[in-house]
Amino acid sequence: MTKPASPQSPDSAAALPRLAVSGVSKSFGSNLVLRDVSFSVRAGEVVSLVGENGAGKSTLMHICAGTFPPDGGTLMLDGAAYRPASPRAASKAGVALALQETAILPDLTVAENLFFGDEPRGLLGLMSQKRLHWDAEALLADLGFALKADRLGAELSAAERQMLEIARAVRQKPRLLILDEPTASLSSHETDLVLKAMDRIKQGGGSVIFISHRLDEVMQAADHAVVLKDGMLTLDAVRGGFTRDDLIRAMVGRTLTDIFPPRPASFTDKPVRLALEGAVAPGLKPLTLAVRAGEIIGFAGLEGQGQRPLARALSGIAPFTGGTIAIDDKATPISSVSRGIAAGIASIPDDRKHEGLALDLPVRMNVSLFALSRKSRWGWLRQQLEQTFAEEARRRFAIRTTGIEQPVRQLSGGNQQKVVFARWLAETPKVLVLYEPTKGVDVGAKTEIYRLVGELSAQGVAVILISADMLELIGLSDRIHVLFEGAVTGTLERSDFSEEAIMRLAAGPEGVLGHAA
Amino acid sequence: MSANAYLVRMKPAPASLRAVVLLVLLLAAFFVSARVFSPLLLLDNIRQAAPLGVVVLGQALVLMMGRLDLSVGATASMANIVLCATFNGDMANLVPALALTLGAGALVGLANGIMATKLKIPAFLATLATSMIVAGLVVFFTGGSPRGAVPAQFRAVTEAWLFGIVPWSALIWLVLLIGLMLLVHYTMLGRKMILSGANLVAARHSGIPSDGLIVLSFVLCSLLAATGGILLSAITGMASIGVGNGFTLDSIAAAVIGGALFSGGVFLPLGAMAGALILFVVQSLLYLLALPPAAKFIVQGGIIVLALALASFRKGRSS
Repeated sequence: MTKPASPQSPDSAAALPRLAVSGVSKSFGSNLVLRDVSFSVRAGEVVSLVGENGAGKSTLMHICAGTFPPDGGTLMLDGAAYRPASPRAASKAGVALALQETAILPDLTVAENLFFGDEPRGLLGLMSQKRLHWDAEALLADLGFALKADRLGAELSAAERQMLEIARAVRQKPRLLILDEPTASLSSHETDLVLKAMDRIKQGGGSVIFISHRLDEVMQAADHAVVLKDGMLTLDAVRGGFTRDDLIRAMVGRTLTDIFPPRPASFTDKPVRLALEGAVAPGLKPLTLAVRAGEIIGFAGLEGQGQRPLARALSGIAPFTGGTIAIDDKATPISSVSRGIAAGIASIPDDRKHEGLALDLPVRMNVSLFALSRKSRWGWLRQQLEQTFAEEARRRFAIRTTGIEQPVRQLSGGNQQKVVFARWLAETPKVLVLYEPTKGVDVGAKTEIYRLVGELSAQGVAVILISADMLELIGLSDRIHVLFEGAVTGTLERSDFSEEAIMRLAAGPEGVLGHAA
Repeated sequence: MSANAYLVRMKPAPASLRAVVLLVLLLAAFFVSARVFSPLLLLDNIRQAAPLGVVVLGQALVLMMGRLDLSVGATASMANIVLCATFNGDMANLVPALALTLGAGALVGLANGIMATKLKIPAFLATLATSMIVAGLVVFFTGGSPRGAVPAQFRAVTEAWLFGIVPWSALIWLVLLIGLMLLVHYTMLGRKMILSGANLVAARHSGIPSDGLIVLSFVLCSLLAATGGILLSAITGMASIGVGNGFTLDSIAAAVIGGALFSGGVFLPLGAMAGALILFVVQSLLYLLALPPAAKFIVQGGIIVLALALASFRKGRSS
């Protein structure tokens, strides 16, 4: 555990911290989410809170914003005890939270959403539409956000909804503004605007806590970084006292080389497994691609740039409508899921609960489908074989369960994902399509999944990795294609991998400046 | 080890056992009230419950697919009319009578299945519509006064006892039950049906032809409903309009008492059988106690509440 270098600068030694969190713990049921977390935020400081999914960041933020109380520990706001009973109480005390999943009312305009519940009053205390509109325009212009005040909530894109949510929080002129992954759906230009808005709050003496997965952003904007891992504080350092690598190590508990499998230097001697030639699908512009045996090809991009159509076309759910597809030099149109399976494609869906698993059925029935259908004779289900296969899958994929008869619903996210893998990998496929393979999965299971992918690639499986997780893309891929509006706008080789490079390409060919205007 | 695996698999689900326990309690009440314990009385109950029991099997299958069939009553009633009209009291017409009746039933199921999949009409609305159409067609073709009758020899199906011990209708019920159990729990087809019923999208994305399986379940359900109608006709011996209409709600009630879930993915043949018997024994018990017919509905409603409350109570404790 790294101790803070010295958060109190000498000249403000007397000044109390804006927020002091000490010894905070929280558990949900038997699940301990936060364990004795202490840190402080000074006035006029931007604190970046970093950690893997499930590390406890959001829980900590919700405690600060009054959504629920901590089980133990105390909070102090500007030296006074701070125990908000509700988000409303927190907001009265000057703490505003802008959520990642925004609550924008679809039938109200941007201006109405912005001032919801606190509308400017005109004559006779009635709501004044004109003032509402003016004030909203002024605030948005001030922030530099390209949002029209009269647009309806329903018309906004994910990025625009996020900007609105941030503007709404900024409007309250909070003493402490908490932003939960504000930039996850934003382009680099929009991200700059958000970082500028944070800067402005800082100049005005306010404090900001922002959660982000993008380490470049953290390095750029944070005056002070706090890292959580498995509910515990693993790093607390001010600017200059930490590097990117420090952050990563504190987040995952080990260095990247340990969690990602080693990659061979070159694949040029390997045969081409999967070849696409001008393949088109709804939402996907013509794509030409060659994946050699054992290669892991990453697809990056902002949300909704063609990742889903690509995954669905490759798995045969929404097949390619044109172009040629060849597997091992043989033309193989993937016209349906079962054709895809027959051709040796295994496809891990991004939404395991809806698209991958029968949650109320036991592990046994969820893992055994492909193993059984291949080996069944005369259509009879071979019970003994199923039993053995399920037990073996449980061992091979290290699925933590009370037994193969336990319903999948009762397993953790990581173990559910391993069940999906176990079903699809009953036999080694030729092509493995991974769509957000570690979404909502804990670090331990993530590491196991990465190791598994590494093993498969060593066996000559061609892997397509479609992911929004930068660390995963950079750590696992041999080459990364960046998608923008359904087309590949750039390709990075392993030596050129960086989050900045990916983000630059993800923003689109002309940059986003023209876009925002 | 291997025998053990089979034993574990053969162990009835808790929901089935709950229904069986409920059934045993009701039977005890029945025999106490009758002041006589006679296995023959029990077997006679089974004999008379067989038509409903067969229909419940079909309903349970459709429920397993996460759907609902509101047309089983109309289909059974139609089967009665078609069977009597084709038989016309002559055993020589056995083959055409059975073929036509089951064929008509299969058509209803096909229509249900196609509406529920290709036309994407919610199953309970689609089957409600077919139920109305079928009932209307029956009245249209018979002019309201159905003709024909089941020949006396055919009535042996429900009225005669094998070796004087086992009613034939009970045997038919048992054979169909075992057949469906084998289909669902011991074949790949059945496994794919369960997976489709438990999560349709996940099944499709695993290459399972779910739409076809849903159509199959509706066809089987309507065939079983028509079979229930045939057994009922053997009991009554004559054609009368709407004779099987009560099967629609009774079959849903029995399946649910037997542990079926509206969310799909569950098929409990033992539970389905116990559910049908429970409804029937309740009826006999109330008759024995000389309670008014209205009491039947109140008690049936109460039993559904009791069965489901027990189920959610158990679930609450285990999680």
